[in-house]
Amino acid sequence: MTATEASLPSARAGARRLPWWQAEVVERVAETPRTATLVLHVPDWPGHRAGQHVDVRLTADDGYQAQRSYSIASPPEALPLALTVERLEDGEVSPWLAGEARPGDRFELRGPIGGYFAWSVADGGPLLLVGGGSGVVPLMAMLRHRAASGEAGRAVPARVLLSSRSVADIIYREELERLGSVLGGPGIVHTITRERPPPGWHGYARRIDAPMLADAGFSPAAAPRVFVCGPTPMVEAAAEVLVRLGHAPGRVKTERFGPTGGG
Amino acid sequence: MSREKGCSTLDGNAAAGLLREVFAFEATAARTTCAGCAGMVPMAELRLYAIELGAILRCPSCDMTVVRIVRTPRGLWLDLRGATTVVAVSAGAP
Repeated sequence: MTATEASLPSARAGARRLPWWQAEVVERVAETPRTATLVLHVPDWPGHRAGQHVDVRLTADDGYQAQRSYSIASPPEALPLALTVERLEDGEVSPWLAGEARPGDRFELRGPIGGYFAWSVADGGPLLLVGGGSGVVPLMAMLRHRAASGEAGRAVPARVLLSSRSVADIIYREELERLGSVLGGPGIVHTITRERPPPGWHGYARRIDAPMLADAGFSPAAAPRVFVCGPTPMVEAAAEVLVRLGHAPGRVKTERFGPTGGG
Repeated sequence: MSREKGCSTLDGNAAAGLLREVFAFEATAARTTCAGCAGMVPMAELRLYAIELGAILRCPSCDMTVVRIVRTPRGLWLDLRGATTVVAVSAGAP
C-alpha cells in the first residue's frame, strides 16, 4: 500500500458530502387544487435517477430552519429540475412551496438523495407502479424517463395504478392520458376514493385492493419490479396485498410519506 | 487463519480503500440484519420514528431499534448496535 492509494479515496469521500445549493424558481404550474409543480434552476445539478428526491431547506428571517424531502418529478433526461409539491395543512414547508413560491424566489436544496426507490430503463422490467395521491410524483419521473428512452423504454412493459381522492385531484392527468395513449405506452388505471365516480368514469371507485392489483398489475410469474409510493396506510395495504398475491417482497419497493416527513 | 497470520503490522489507514468501498454505499439500499429477529431489509424499509434530533429506524417485523442517528454539536452520532450486519448492495440490484 502506498501513501497515494491511501489518500486518494478519502479525498474523494470528502467530495461526496451533499452540498446545499441555491435553487431558483423559474416556473410554477398549478397541477390540482392542492398541488403545484415548481420548475427550478439549480446551477451545477449533478443529475439524478428517476425516483430520487431532494431535501428542501427554508430559513425564516429569525434563522429558524425547516427541512423536508420532496420527490423529483422531472426525468434524468430533462433539465431544469421539477418538483411537484402537495400542500399539507399545518405543514411548515409545503404551504409555501405549493402555494406561495413564485418565479424568482430562491431556496436551499440538496440532492439527489436515495438510491433505493429509483429505477432506470437499464434495470429492466416489467415495471408496475402503484401510487396514492402525490405518491405519483416519483413514479411520474420513472414514466417520463421511460418515455424519453425511445425503443429501450418501450421494450419495458409498464403498468400503473393510481389512487386519488377525486378526479380533480389526479395529478398529471392529461400527461398520463397522453403517455398511455401512444403505442407502447404504459397501461394506466385510476381509482378514486372520496367521491362518487362521474358519468363515463372508466376507472375504479374504491381503495386499492387485491382484485384491483391483480387486474391492473402483472402476474407474479412475470416478476415485475414494483414501486409503491403514497401515504403510509395506502402503501402498507398495497404492499401487503402484492406479497399476498405472490410477488416477492424483495421486488416490491415502497416509499411512504406523511405529515412527519413530508410537510 | 490464526490471528498472527491474519494480522499485519499496518493499521486502519491501510484499509482506507476498503473502508471507503464499504462506507460509500447508498444507505437506503443497504440491507440491515435486525439484531432482534434477524430479519433482513433495506434501510429504506425500516420504520422512521423520530426526526427532530435525528432518526430512529426500527425493524418493521419486531420493532427493534436497528439504527439510531443523532445530530450533535460535534457531529452525527451513529448507533448501529441493533444491526448485526449491514450489506451494501449496488443501487440497481433487486
